[in-house]
Amino acid sequence: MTVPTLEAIDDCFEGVIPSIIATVAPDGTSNVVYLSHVVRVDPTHVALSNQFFGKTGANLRANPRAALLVVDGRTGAQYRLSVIYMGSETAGALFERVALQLAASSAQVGMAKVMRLRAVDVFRVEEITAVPSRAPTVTAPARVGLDAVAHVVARLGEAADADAVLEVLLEGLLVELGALAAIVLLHDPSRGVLTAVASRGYPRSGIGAEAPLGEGMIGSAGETGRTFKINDMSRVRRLGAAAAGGELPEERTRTIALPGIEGAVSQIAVPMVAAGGLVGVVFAESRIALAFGQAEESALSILARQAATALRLAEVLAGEAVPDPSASTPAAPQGRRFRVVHHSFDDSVFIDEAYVIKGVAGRLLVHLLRLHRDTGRRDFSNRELRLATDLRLPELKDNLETRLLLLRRRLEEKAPPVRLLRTGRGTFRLVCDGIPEIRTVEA
Amino acid sequence: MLIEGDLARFLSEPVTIILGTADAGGRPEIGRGLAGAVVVEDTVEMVLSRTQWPATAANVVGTRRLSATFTRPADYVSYQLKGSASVRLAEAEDRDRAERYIASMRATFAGLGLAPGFVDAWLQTEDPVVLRLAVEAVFVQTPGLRAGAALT
Repeated sequence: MTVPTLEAIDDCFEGVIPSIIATVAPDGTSNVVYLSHVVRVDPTHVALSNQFFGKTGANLRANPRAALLVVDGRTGAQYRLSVIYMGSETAGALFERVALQLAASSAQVGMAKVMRLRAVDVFRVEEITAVPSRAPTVTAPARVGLDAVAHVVARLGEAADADAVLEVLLEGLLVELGALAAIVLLHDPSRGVLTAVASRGYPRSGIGAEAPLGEGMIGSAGETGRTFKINDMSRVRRLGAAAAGGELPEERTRTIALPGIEGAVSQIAVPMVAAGGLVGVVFAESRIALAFGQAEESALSILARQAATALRLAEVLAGEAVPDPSASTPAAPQGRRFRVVHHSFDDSVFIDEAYVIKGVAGRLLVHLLRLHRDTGRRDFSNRELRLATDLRLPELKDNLETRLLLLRRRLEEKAPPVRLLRTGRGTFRLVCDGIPEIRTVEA
Repeated sequence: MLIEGDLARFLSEPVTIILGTADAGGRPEIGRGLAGAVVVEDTVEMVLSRTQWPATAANVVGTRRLSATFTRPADYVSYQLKGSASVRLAEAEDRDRAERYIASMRATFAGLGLAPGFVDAWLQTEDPVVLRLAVEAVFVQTPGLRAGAALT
């Protein structure tokens, strides 16, 4: 058997199966306990996130030798590490990395304030041996390779607009990375939230659902610009049980719930960053334990940033496009009347009593409906919306296209008598089945 | 130290057993035990596969010391038992007990969403011996503020 390297046993360091540490007191009495996290630092060092309680710490100060037993989270294979305690770090890059990993798993279980890391304990690895087993080897699917990443990046390069970028990214996650479901949320700086604009694999799309920055895995990934990953099945399951049930109708809450899949055991949230700014967060989940290892995390990191850049570029191109005025013919609204209620305090919009959207997208919708009602205009361009002063939308400079995309998709899903059709790069048509009666309710 | 009541019952539940030993040079070793049982009021026995954990068996023979942490997988309730220990060869009834224990652990972990192949990789019965631990001290090992506190 070949001698395993730390890199080759990477799946042991994902925190799925608890590791074990044994130490020895000066009188020869051993101490054996479970550990929450072992982190691979470099080819010859590991670090433990455990703030050493009592006996293990005292033993290590007297005798720095320890034995670690780590378990591959996908196959159950066990490895024994002979290690030497080198010291503890309370600050610096390694400390930050371990603290974030710990925060990632505790954020999801609502323990972010409880599990505070005091120190990271660093060990030099002297020897790695596989624990013999006669059980049939559990085979795990191959990790994602660079070829698969290149394939998705090539398709992202060909995506001509924001819609296509989102579709390619989500399909890449489900097909090439093996996710069961995935969702993209885009950053809304004016409200400090991430808003879902596209998803695949969920029982309902969740388009329009929001995750506040800093809350949960998605919000934490957005706020810190770092990846958050959870591979601990029991924690996720308990969280799922707590989150299930008790959903109020959208009409009362004016919020759309994030979708979920039952029995998810692996989840990952990756920030989408371009030109030094947060564009959004992509979140993926799976029912397979440890579905997102180091390779998938790296792959997703590349794809998320590539998609972020493509979205930014789509935004710029859509903003520059000048519509052809001859292609547009006004048509006064006709047919039945439908009610549009706009609440100015949060820009939430209801059509025929059904909640549609709020925030910037809500304001946009009312603006377009008013123009259509008053002038019969149907065709609009991103460019003119950017210049429209009455929209009071300075923040639209960077994300008008994605706001319109959110609005268009939400309208398609709710199927009220209003739709937006994309007619070209940076241009779209408002299609109304009837005459809008718009009423604004001031707070 | 007397092992009775709730603790005695806990030790014979489907709980994981991890073993700590050291050689004469103070080098620590880890193993996994099977089928804990209180056999006399202060003595706990468990089965060990010598094929899978040869150093653990050799250390107990060499130093006569053993530490064993018993943990309930569902809630991490844990106790560590420390004391002097000896090794004896497994009898037919020990082997049966080990097989029943593995079946119960397989069911327990399946209930927590773990594939059966994992348990089979960890818990094996080849070349079984019995470790006999005369308990001198018991420590609460459940994660939390009381972790490491001695039971008196």
